[in-house]
Amino acid sequence: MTNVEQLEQAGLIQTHNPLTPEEVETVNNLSSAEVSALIAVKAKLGDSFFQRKVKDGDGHRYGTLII
Amino acid sequence: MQDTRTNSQRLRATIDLTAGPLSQRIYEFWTHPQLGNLYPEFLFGLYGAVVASTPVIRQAAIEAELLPPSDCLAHRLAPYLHEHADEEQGHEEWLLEDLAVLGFDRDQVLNRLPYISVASLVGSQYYLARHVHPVAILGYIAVLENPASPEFLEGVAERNDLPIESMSTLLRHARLDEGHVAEFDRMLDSLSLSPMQRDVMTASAIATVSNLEAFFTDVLEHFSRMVDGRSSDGIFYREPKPSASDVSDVAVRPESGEFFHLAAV
Repeated sequence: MTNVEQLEQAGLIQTHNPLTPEEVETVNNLSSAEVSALIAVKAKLGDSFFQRKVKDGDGHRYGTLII
Repeated sequence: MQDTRTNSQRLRATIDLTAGPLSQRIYEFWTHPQLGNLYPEFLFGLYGAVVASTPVIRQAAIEAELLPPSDCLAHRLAPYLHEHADEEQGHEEWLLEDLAVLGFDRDQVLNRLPYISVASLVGSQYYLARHVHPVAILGYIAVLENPASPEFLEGVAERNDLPIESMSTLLRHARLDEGHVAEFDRMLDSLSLSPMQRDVMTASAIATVSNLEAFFTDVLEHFSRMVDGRSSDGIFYREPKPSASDVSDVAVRPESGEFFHLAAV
């Protein structure tokens, strides 16, 4: 079973919102320990609807948090 | 097929893959219709993370000094982490100054229980650094050191009637951290990581994204609790300035019991 298949089975990849080819490559290059970490935190992956919103309408970064 | 990406490219691609729900929470926060009122609450939450970040990076540096000589990171990690901890030192004071601009004094901040999500965010790093490998902290830094742009912050201040002085911490990082991110990536790319070291760094980044999502969820839940006076007790709420057209509303609000009890602090 590929990493993508494992993550689909765990419900972390939405079938109506498939990963891009680049994201598939990233997932399939993860080790089994890294895949386990994703499953442990129930990380929803590759939802492009969410990821488009990292910038405002003018293209300025929101950032995440700062240390 | 062999992965030819650099350490930083690989780590950032994994972070991007998992950051969708976090980005959604951040979007909801910055575009919240009452952002101007509860921005102090965000600063309070942020204080909890920032006051703990220098010590946890320092602890990871100390753990790195204790690595056996056979560990390929034994001589590389500690100097970088000590330098990074030095750079972050004292930033919590900036946040206290920003909160003071908004009318909140340091005792109010120091006497309040931090978010549990912040304890998870930072606490997981102590565990990983102490009991697994201090390289984990690089996953934490990669996620957190991602400042907003100055133009975005200036726009937020203007749209929400927030004094720009109350954004000094965010603005200072926005202006300084561009160089930090590039420097971090160069350092990361210069490391020769074992598969285990790479795994713990990635797992740390994944956990950090998840814990940070919980942090922003906490902040947003404080917004929602404002409809209930008792639940909103202790929230850092900035009362809006009434405009001339609001005068009649202000007279009504105490009787409705829906407004003034929100400014509990």
